[in-house]
Amino acid sequence: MATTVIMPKLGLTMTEGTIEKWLKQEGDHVQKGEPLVEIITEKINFQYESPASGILRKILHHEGEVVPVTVPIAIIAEEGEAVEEVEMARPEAPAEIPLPAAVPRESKEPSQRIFASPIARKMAQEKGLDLSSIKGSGPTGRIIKMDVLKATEKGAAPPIQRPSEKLIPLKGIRRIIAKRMTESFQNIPHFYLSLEIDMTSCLALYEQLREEVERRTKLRFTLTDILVKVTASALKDQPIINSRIEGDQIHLIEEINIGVAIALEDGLIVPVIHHADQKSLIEIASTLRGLTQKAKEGKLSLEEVGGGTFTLSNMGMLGIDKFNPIINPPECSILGVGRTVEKPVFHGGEIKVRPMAWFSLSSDHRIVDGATASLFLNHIKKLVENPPLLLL
Amino acid sequence: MVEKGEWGGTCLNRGCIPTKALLQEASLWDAFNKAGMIKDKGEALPYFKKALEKKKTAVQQVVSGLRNLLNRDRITVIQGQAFFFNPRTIGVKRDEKDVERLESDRILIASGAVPKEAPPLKRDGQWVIGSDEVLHMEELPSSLAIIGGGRRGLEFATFFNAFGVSVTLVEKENRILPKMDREISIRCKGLLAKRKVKVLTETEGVSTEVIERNKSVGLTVSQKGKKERLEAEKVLVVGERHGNIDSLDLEKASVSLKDGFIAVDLHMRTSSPCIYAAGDVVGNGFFAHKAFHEGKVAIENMSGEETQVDYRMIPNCLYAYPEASSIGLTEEEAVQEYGEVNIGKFPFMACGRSIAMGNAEGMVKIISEKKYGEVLGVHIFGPSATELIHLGAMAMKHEIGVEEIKEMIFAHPTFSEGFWEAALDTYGEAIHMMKG
Repeated sequence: MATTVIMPKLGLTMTEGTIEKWLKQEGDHVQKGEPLVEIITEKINFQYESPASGILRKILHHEGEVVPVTVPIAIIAEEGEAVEEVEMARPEAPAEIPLPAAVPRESKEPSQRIFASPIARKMAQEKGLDLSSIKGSGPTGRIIKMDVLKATEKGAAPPIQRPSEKLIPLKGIRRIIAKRMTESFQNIPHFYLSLEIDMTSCLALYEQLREEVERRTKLRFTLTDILVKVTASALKDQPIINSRIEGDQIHLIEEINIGVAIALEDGLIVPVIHHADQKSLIEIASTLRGLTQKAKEGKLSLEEVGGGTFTLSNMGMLGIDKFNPIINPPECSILGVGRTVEKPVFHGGEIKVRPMAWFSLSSDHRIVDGATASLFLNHIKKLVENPPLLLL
Repeated sequence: MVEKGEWGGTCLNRGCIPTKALLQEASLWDAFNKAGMIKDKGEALPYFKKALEKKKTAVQQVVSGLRNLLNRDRITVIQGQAFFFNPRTIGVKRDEKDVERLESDRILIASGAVPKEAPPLKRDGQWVIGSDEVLHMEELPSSLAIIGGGRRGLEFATFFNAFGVSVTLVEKENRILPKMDREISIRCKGLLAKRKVKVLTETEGVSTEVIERNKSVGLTVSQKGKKERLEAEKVLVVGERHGNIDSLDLEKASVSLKDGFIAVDLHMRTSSPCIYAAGDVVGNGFFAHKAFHEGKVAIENMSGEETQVDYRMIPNCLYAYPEASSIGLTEEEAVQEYGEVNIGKFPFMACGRSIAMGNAEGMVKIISEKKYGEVLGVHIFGPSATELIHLGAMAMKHEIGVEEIKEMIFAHPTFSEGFWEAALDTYGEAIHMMKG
């Protein structure tokens, strides 16, 4: 009996997926549970396992195609089994596929058509010139041979002069990051606030709790866990930061779901600690360790990377003092934490050496202004410097 | 606008339009003749006279059309002879007493060209005639010697040949159509020989004398110093032309000349800041379409735009029977400029439409650059050549390469297919042709 493989719906909000790579080719034998196809969604890339055993008889959608969820993408059948009917019976995308969110998605930029004469195109290609960087002087601005020749004279970076280079295709997670960060940086009016925070009490708390937490969880306890707790608490106090903008409305989100940026070999992923405000430090620590492990193994589910309302990025362990992170859309803000450094500071009229760290907040100016964001950042400072407040 | 003669100038009255009307009749006559439908060769004369009538009607029609266009655009037209007082002022002389002064910030000279004296030969208007008189001939001569084997000489040669006139063509260069691609010259010469037109190259006219008793002209020519005496009922001298400038008083406007024409740059500016010139009066080929384009460029520059004429994009057309046309570089020029070039060629002998119509002489040749396939020149000899040339004009102007032409779909059977096959032949892929 032939099995139709459909574009899986990997999460509640998933409406379509891109076929990144077929791991089996037409005619290959495939076992149920064997990785069949790599699919990219808005958030992750994912190896989809074969739902049946048999021969991959027909690939209906090829690499690079964007396919709505539940639409057939392949047919697995026994050798000799007729698949034409299965193919003929390909259902249309069923009605229950959620319509795109109320906010119309950024329509895919129609690839800007460049008007250029065929000779100009060939010449530009051969000389390694980017046509979009050349101004056309032909009828209605069409790029003609003369324009390419002029651009060549000006030396618009012909590749011959470039140092030798290796090309890395922009694919998989890299492509997702590229797309999302560009969208964010281009569409969200970012502004940045920074504060230097005295980490003495926070480090003391960390030391006090470390042994107990690690004993109970059998896992490592980190400063980031405390920062998640602090952030969740501050977000409860300043709910406007825990929001997103959709069309003409700002949505205040009740759930506090904190994403934590994790560096991977080939990129970056932000798994989400759902209901972080309702979790104990132990729960936060074990959740975050679990997510980190899965991230490194590439096994995060869509739910585990979805639904974030705020992101925390701690680059302290990477030796960075201070940085301005880019907002992870559709969130409103992101907190960037630098390393803790012992510094001489005035404390009670005396110069003392204190462990200090920079906290930087990037916010969406459409939603919040400097005053609101500084209230939030100052609240974080207050909690970090006085951790007992977390008990209240 | 000031005009001293007929509206429409040479093109309408003495050039393109009347000669094309005659050519059409000649080709029809020839077709009937070849089909064996003309039993009595004496029918040629009445047919020729009818052709002249049709020509007159055609000319009247386009001239009156032109008048309507001038009225439509509310162009003030003044009849009279224009001349310069100074660079900003012209006078228009209607007769000796009546002179009107006109001032203008910008002046365009488009006074055309006139046949040059062709010493040592002298036109007398009866025995030794020029291209103006030939259009007003009432009778068909039994024989005609034509001095000048260029475009216009060829047009008249094939026209009179079609009506059974015995034609001798005399050209001083080493080939007829010296300004066209060599291959067209060769093919054209072959065709003329087949039609029993006598062609003398590297030959110049030396003298003429009227032979009263024979009612003919004795024409002495010199071929590389060797003299030969010919006899013909008429001698037609279609020699060179010069700018029609003699009565313009150009020196008062500080307009300089070059080789008998008004000197202009590519913006059609003369040496005098506010004076522009366009058309035959600036020389460089005598085509109405060249004149239109120069006129357009002149007006654009007069109104502050900076445009210029690209002479390489002007089609060169021979309205003989058959036609020939070319645009861009000749094969020789292309080789000189680019070194190696690609040549794609297709003979009409292999074109279905040509064979079907019994009109299978000639060829299409596309010269292209090797690296990008840019079309550098197109040369066509054969049926509809002056129509087909625009495929080449479009490809060249808009930089459509031979490979793109190959990708097009041409209707079958058409003459245009010859153009496509020539593009295919560039890469040895022509369909209806033996691989050579």
